[in-house]
Amino acid sequence: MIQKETTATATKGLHILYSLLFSLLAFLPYFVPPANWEATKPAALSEYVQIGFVGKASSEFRPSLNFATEEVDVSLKQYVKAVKKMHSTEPQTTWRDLGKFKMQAGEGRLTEITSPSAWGQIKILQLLFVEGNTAYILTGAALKNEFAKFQNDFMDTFRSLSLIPDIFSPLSEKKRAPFEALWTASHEHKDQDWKDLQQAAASCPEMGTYWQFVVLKEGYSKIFQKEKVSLNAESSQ
Amino acid sequence: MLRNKFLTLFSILALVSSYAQEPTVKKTTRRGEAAGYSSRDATVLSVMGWGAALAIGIATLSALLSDSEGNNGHSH
Repeated sequence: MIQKETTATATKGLHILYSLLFSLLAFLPYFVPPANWEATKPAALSEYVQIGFVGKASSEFRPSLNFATEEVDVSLKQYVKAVKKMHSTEPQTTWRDLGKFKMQAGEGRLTEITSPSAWGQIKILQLLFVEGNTAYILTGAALKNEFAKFQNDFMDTFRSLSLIPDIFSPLSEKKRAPFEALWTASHEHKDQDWKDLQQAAASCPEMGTYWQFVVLKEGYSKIFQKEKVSLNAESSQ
Repeated sequence: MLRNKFLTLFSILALVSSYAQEPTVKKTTRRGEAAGYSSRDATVLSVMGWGAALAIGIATLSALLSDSEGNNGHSH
């Protein structure tokens, strides 16, 4: 009995210690959304959603993908259990655990949700991943009868999810240089610096829209000295 | 010798565990919420009308930032 409690305490302690170390290292999430999908962040979305992407479809219901994060103090297994419990209370909704899913960041859990809507049955694939004190969630949705067309887009994006030590680490030294110059500048000419940053971000299309978005967000905060930028595009409503 | 090492490690882990006890209670109340909201938000995004989502590109991403700040004075 005592041995069991000792093991439990040690396990919990190790998890917390690991979380503290991980948060000190401050890794950043990175993924590549489907090419040519539109980026958006309407104000109607929850505070957890960092950014959304919308693809093209023949119907009014377009395929979408969003990225969310949540501060947690549980393992992936416990997180999945909590999500399952939550969906089990929703009427006419089916939730399925599709099992382990390997991606750049490590091993996550792939789940599927189906629910009825005015446009027909909706199918949602959701990737759950927990590292340190953060849950990372990528969610892709499409009409069930059109889902096959977009499944590869969702899967490729899910597989690309990784955690990087800093936002410029995937860049070559040459490509990193203009960003580093902007990051260390005194920003006496804010408007010009903002223009330069946009040009530098535009010169890295291979990094994907999410990466460009994060770079612009970080850069905007630095140049205009805003501590926290709230990203709600009121104009997209 | 090994026992002493184990006891030291155990003490550190117990200390870390008790140190983090207070915020643990608060955080667990929100566990899993993001996943639930994300699936709801996926539907919200999918049913936005044509043209409501923004065209792809740096100008779009920059506009997302500027709009949220209510900052019209900066170049995009």
